[in-house]
Amino acid sequence: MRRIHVAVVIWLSVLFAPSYGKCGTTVVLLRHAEKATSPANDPPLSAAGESRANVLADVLADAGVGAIFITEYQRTRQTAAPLAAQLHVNPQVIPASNSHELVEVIRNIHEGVVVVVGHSNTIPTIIAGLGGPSVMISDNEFDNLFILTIGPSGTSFVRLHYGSNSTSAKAPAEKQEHAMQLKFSRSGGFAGTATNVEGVVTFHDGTAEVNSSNGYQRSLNPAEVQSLKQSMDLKYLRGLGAPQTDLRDAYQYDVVIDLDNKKRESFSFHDQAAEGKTNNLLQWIAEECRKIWEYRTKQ
Amino acid sequence: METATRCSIFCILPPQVLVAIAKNAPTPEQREAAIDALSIDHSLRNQRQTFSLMGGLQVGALSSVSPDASGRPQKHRTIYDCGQGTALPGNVKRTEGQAAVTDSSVDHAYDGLGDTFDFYLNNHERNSIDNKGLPLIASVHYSNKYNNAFWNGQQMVFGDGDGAIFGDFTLPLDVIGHELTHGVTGSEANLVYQGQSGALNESISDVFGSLVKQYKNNETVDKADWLIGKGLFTPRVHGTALRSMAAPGTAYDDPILGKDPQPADMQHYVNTPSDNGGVHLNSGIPNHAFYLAAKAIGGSAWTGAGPIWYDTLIDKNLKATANFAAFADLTVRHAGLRFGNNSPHQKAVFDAWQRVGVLKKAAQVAA
Repeated sequence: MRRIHVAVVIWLSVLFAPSYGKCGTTVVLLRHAEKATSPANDPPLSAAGESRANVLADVLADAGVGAIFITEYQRTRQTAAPLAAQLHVNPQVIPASNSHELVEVIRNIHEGVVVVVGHSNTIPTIIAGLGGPSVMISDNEFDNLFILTIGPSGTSFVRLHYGSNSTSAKAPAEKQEHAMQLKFSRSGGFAGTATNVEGVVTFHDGTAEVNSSNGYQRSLNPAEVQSLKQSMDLKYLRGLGAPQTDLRDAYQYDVVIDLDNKKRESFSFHDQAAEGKTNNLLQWIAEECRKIWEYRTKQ
Repeated sequence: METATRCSIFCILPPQVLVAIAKNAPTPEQREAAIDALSIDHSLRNQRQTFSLMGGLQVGALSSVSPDASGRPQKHRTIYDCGQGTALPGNVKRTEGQAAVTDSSVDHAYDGLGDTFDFYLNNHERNSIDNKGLPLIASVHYSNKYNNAFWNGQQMVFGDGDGAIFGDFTLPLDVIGHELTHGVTGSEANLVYQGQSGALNESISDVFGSLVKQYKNNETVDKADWLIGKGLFTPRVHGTALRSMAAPGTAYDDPILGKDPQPADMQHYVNTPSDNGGVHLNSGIPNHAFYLAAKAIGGSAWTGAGPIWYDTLIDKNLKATANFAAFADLTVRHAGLRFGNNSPHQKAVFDAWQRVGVLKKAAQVAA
């Protein structure tokens, strides 16, 4: 093992010599990104983890990274993979249980930037071993990016965060998003354009109003406002997926929800999509379209 | 599996996901890959479609109907009543061989299903929607004042209309022929219901819906009205029908409904995200091409242009993602196969597509 590490040090010295002066070593340390739930012994990254790994590659694209250290677990390899591919750097594997050897390797690098992808229980050990402060990474934290600079005059340490916030639970964040407007339109159907209708619901605090370009207008009573707001369960709506495709001549409903945080959610559904579902937004939209049509025919 | 060599992530995705990718993917490469995967395997496609047709509702329980002693395929119709609700299929109101009931929607649907079955059997030796004797199911009185009729992949569904603009959707025979033909297309090329292939899917339903009506009424191409949904509007509407194959864009012009927006040629092709990419709009273009071809051939359309379109529809070379030009090329080829290369029939078909701007003048007539 020691012989291998000596080889690594020699290789690193050659690598860094031309482009960096003797201004010390910058060590970027992070825990692997979000992992999947199985297999328990060596899970790969989850989708969230994969996107975080891509962010990492963007964040460190121009940092002058000359070496990447990972462990034997695939989640560390996958976290480093986009960066490694971009920089054409081959990550070096040092087993997670050999943190002290990794510390030794890094101490023998005197210049350049290295990246260490480890685990919530190894990164603090490595930071401490390199003379940094004591840190703690909790189980649900994946967004830490620690920068430790080792120079002739001592070490400096910075704790950054990258990618999306991994600690604040997703659900409360979504609950804080309030709908400002709900736009919907109905198209398709055997009659085609002839039966198209559209409308907009605008919410102000506890009240809401529906308008259509054909002059249709009505205020929702407080109970209906509350029920409609509850039915705009973004998590549920995002999970609706693609509209059923073996339907022919069914009405197509296109929906856009503008949120107060300037975000926009959009989805489409067809007749029958609401059948047997607990969420009543789809039924509410279909019924409102019928009312708007009815208003049109009474003009 | 034959397609193993081409397998990618798209091979394992269900078609509706592929369609979503084809519609929404951020890069052209992803869209193309999804479209490509959708059109990969014709044998699998048929197998899958049959499964889908036989899979749901009561259809699976009713096995295909065997020919009677004469060897002739038999109809097997069941008409349900939704009672203004939206749960399908509803309560059984009339089954095969039973006498007419007092509900005219039930009887119209029953008769229309029979006329459509007879059209396909007598003219194309087709045994029901899937050519395997699939029992025919329709539900009437769907939802409240519902201005629509649709095919849900397994059965037909009819609304009563709002009474203000639309009447009962079981009234026009071509509406019934239209919806059942969606089932036929679904078990053949299964043209993707989006953009040009979607407009072709719609047009094929209009074409055969109209042919069912012309055959039933024994109308020549000159006698036929070439209208879709005639009789659906209430008398107050300024219009004769929902669509005109003879003159797309002229079926109605009404203060409430506006003007019939269908284009008749490629110059007026409409790009829109609504209605699955304007499938009920741009269908006017292939609709008009069929009309022009049928008129030029003359006689009764179900023995002239009709069989050419039918041969094209069941041709395994017709891809699910076919555009207008690909479909047009195939009709020209089938006109040649059925009536001879350089026959007046083939010339009529080519000229029709050229007049609506789908085929170019200089294009070679496919042999």
